[in-house]
Amino acid sequence: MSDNPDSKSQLAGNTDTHAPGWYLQSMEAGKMMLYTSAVTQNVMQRSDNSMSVVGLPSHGSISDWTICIFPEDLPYVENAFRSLTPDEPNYKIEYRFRHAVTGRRFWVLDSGTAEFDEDENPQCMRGAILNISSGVRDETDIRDSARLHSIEAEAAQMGIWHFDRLSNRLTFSNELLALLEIDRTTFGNNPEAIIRRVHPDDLAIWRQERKKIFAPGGKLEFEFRVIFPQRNIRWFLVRGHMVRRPDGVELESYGVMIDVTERKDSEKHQTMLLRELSHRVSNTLAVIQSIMRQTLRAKNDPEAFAQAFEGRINSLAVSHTLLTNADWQGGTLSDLINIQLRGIVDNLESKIVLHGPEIVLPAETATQIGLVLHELGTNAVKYGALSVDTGKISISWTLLPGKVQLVWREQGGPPIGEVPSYTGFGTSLISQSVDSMNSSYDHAGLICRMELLL
Amino acid sequence: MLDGVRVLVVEDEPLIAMELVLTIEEAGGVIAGSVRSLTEAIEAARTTDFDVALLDVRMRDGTTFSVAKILSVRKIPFLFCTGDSEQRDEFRDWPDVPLVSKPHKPENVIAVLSKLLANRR
Repeated sequence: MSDNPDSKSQLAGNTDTHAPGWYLQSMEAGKMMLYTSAVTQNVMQRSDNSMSVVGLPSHGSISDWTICIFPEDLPYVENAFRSLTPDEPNYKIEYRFRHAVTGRRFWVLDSGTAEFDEDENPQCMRGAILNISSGVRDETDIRDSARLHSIEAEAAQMGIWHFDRLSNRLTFSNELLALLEIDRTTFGNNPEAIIRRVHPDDLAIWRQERKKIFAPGGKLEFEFRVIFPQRNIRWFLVRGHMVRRPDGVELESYGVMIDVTERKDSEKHQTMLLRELSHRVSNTLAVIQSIMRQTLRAKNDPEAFAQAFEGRINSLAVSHTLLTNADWQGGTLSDLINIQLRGIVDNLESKIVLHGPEIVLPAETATQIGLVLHELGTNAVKYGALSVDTGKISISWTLLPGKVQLVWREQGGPPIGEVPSYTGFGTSLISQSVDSMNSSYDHAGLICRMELLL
Repeated sequence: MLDGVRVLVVEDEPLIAMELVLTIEEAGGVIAGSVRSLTEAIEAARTTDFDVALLDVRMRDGTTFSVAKILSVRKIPFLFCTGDSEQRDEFRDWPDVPLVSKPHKPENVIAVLSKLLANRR
């Protein structure tokens, strides 16, 4: 024995149960508090460590104890005590308690025995209170474990969150706060204010999906938009799950939030591209069908049909190649002229002269003009300037606001009298495809003027 | 089939428009107009006289739902021509309007136009 029985160094290793501090030290370590309550007098006597365990003085009342019990658990507790009888005087109940000083909430196991008077009324309760909360973490713990993941998290644009079910406290890791551009002091005071940052259109989803974590085996996984101080919007994926005690009681939930804006943007872009592609394909098929039918109207002979049809489909194909090489942003007029006439005319460079500024035609316009050029070229080879060696073609164009004026001029071809009149698909195609056209002949040959709206 | 019926064709792809025009003319119909832009379509819908219209839903300068509204007010029947990219819910405001998908079958187009006119009488 020593002079100072409370000195830790003297008690450490002391296995003498008669030493004064022994019990208290052990109880302290085990977060246990002993009590006796006198029911009718509303008196509750607690062990000397009651202030630290529950925040109440050792001498107090049953009322000051009851006040600290969670209101939702009161009916359960009162019921349990009311059902005690001399035959069944023992109790062992669990309920939630709020520390009278710190406000910290935890679960307690309250076990003991009731003593009854002759009229079988409970007179006295005698028992022990044990703090059985597990998994309650404070901010320091969050940050510590978050530090372990921080490198990974930062690289992944990810942050960790934690929600303590008992204290209803939501905490975000430093990474998450940084990701969301939230100041810790602002957040610390009112974490639920995160709801103000949720995009109004996603609020319904947010409220609905959050609930899923409370279902048995519940997991959280959904995406929503967050509005940032600079008014820009980013997408976040939340994932999480609930930790429960073996009896199903919810203790805490935690998880991650990941910035998935880039992925969402690229998904959106891809969806848009697919829709556009689908639309183009439908249109192209319809165009081919139209070419087929109209060629059929003009050419009765299968041989003639096949040749004309193939030529026109080929014109479409080469236009498409040109456009694909330009990533469907459009093709230049000079490239288009070259590519359309190359298949029809030998020695293209010696027969055709181009003159005009570099113009990029939008994709749909390019395809149509391609067909027109194909028609004009085919006709020139069959009947016009290119049907003789001396023939030449000059193609010139000017750019005006919102339109292009193009002139196709044939020279050195066969005498006018021998040129047949063009009917059918060729002419109507040309006149339909361009926004205005007129053809005439001068002493040299066919002159075709057209205007294309851009 | 379409004896003297006046049709407004709204389609911005010239070859498809050409084909529709020829199909309608071959069936005996008369082309009241063949327009290639949304602006022209709205103008034609308001001011031209015709019995039935064919609307390509997705034009380069917008969708033709505004044209559809004008035609509804004028009580002129019409159909929508659609490619694959249109979502079903785009047509939720127009549950009774027939849809013809691209590429179209001429017989199908004529049949739908005839039915629209028959219902009207």
